Amino acid sequence: MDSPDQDAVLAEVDRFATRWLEPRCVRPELPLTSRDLDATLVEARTLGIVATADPGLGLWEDLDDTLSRSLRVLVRIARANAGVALAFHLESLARVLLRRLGFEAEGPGLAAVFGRYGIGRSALARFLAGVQLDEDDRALLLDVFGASDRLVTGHDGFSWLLWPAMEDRGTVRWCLTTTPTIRRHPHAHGFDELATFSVRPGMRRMGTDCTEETANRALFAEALTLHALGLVAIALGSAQRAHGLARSFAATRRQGGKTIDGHPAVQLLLASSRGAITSVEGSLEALGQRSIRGASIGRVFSVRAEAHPLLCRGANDALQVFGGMGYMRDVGLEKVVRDLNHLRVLSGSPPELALFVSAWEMHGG
Amino acid sequence: MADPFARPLQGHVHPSSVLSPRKAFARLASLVRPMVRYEPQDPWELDTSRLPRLLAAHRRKLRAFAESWLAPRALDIDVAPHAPPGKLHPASREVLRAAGRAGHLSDLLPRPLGSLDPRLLRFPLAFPQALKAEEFARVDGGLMLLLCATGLGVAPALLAGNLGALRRTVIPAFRACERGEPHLFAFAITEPAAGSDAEESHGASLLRPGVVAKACQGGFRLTGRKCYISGGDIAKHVVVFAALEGEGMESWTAFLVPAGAEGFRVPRTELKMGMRASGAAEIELDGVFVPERDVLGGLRAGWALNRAVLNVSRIPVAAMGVGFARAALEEATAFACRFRLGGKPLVDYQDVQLTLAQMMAETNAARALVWQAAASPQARQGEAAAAKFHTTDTARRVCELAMDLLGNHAVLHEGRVEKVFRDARLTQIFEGTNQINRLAVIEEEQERLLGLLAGR
Ligand SMILES: Cc1cc2nc3c(=O)[nH]c(=O)nc-3n(C[C@H](O)[C@H](O)[C@H](O)COP(=O)(O)OP(=O)(O)OC[C@H]3O[C@@H](n4cnc5c(N)ncnc54)[C@H](O)[C@@H]3O)c2cc1C
Repeated sequence: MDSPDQDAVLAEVDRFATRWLEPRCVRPELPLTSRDLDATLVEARTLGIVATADPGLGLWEDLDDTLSRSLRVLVRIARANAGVALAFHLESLARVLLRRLGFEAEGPGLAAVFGRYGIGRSALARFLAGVQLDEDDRALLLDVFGASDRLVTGHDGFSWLLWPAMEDRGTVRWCLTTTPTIRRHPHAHGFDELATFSVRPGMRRMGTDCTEETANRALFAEALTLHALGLVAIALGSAQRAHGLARSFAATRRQGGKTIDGHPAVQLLLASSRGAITSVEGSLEALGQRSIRGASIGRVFSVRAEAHPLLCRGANDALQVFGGMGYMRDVGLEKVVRDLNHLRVLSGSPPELALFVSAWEMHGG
Repeated sequence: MADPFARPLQGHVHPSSVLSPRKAFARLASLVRPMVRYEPQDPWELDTSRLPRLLAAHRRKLRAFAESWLAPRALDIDVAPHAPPGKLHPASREVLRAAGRAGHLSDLLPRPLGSLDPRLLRFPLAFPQALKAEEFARVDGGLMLLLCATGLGVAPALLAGNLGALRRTVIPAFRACERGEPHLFAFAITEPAAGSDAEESHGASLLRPGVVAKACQGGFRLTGRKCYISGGDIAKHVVVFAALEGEGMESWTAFLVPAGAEGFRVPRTELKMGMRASGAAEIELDGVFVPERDVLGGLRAGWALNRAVLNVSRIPVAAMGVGFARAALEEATAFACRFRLGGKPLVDYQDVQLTLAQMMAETNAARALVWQAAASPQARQGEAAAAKFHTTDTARRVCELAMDLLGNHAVLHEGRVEKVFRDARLTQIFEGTNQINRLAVIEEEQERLLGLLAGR
């Protein structure tokens, strides 16, 4: 996309975040209701921010182009509300994958590209690198990406579920289910505006929807890559929010005879939060220069493995700048910390991603 | 179900193998054998066995209470709607009553004045308190704080040696607690404009205090606002620190204020990230009368009392960190043994074993620091503050390791680890932020450092 077009899209997103979303999120202790979230999604679909059945310039559309626009959109939305950003990301990802597969389905969807527990450790790297799998790898992948329950945090108002299913033969097949069974888990750690639920896809497939194995595998890698990028972008936007709040607070709160940003103890906290953000911004910007075909899943997972602990540390340090106020739900910092913790363990925790990266490198992926 | 002992953990030899130290050590000379133990032992029992007998028995009692009263109620209370000030969740009330009857609300004085086994007076007071904080925090941070914050409120009266206040107020309150009618205390130093400044001397020297005591016939009238006071909405007495009218922080004085006094109001309690069973109250004082006899430790003794209380109380706060780290470790260990992945338990994976070992080492190191500080006959500022910031930072780190190990399952409330994180996060903030506690270590070192500067 041309830079002026890209700028126009980003300006539109910024307007949406400022005028629509932020006014609805001024009280972090009162999460967006399901109805607010529905209305927000409708608005975002209308504005073309979230991908819909009609191709446009929504998130993750135009995958032949560089990824930077979608990443920037997610960062901006997450700065206003991480939960909304996650809902946008998951819905758009589902739609774009659906389109790539040539499937058709009405209404909003959800793509469960992750497994029962994480991402299948180093076995996934071997699978995606096309290495012959041993029994253990196959058992692991079948367990993680088989037909068992997947734990999802997202908007539960979806009409169809798209998921890559691992098969006994060690192949992957994309499936579409319109009647998944859902079991809600109340009071999850973060993302108060979303639901956390186990979804049992069942084995229902749309007969003609199953595509050929190599293409399936390649799309699986792409989906995992996009999903990982999305999660990092959302984490970055949330951390930026925490940092902004901490900076402003430190400039006005007085203790020790001056505003607290005059104390090295606080400067170190702010620098840690800033440092985490700068580092992840740099990595994400570099990754965003490529199209999905040029993006290496190993590099993306490697960035993600480092980014989440860094951003969690930074957000905790931002919270610490607030002292006791940081612990209070009406201030918003604690929500960012919970959301970041939550993101950190979704779809592969840092140690699991690290195992993937090591194996990916070993097998020349 | 297959016998779990039929095979070793992956990557290890079976304990029955001749190459396992378990088996191999049998070949050592009988004189040497007792020196190198290699037997499975429950880590809690091992730690307990290292305590003096009386403290060990006390620790056992505390764990039994925590498991039978706190554990079954913890998750429900955590997600209950926010209660208005002064209202307790019915389950919290049950726990409070039971804790009172069991003597856990009156253990700052020995029997017959309080409930502490007099033989425990052989040990510094912080030690049994630290054991209590660890055992209670391990099962629930919120209920732990509900039960422990009252001790913080009683401490100024004890350290002030104000026998009148003890006789008139504290001892009858303890008796009520033991009858199952909780009479709680709270400790109020923090003000909207004085958090860290109420915890460290340099800031205090520059502060204009917000709560002021004006002398009047027979006593004082207190006016101003305190915030974040743990248990301040349900306490029957609050120790309020206030400056004398027209003076600075050097005039700080501790006043024992009955919560029912005219002009005493709790407009709100905070909506917190964790430790939700305990309310953090804002307290408004509008000309509240306090008779002279309820001045603790004398006029202008408040700063000394405050700092003395913090020296003692930071050790149990450090122990809370140990309790949270232990909770995270225990949950992660149970998960690693219960959860199967790719046909085998998670604990069979080497990286999971590495994580568990790291968590064990960090938790044990933290406990060693706390027990060392708790065993010190005098509560030393540097030791207490170092234990506080170190163990509470450790607690967060161990929680994060546990969350990584549980992966996406870590976000579930029923898995407890996410709650342990939320509860543990507070310990890095209260009783002085961990930054202020670091400065407290240096403050105590000041004269030695000045000596070094002077080349002495
Ligand atoms: C849930 C909860 C329960 C509590 N219970 C009680 C209670 O029972 N009784 C009570 O009296 N108080 C209580 N507190 C208050 C608690 O002790 C204070 O929150 C804490 O001391 C920090 O003060 P603050 O919140 O005002 O933060 P601030 O003092 O505003 O600190 C903000 C930031 O500035 C830093 N900072 C401040 N001054 C300096 C300095 N001089 N040098 C370097 N850095 C500095 C801090 O480290 C922190 O990072 C409680 C707090 C909470 C959150």
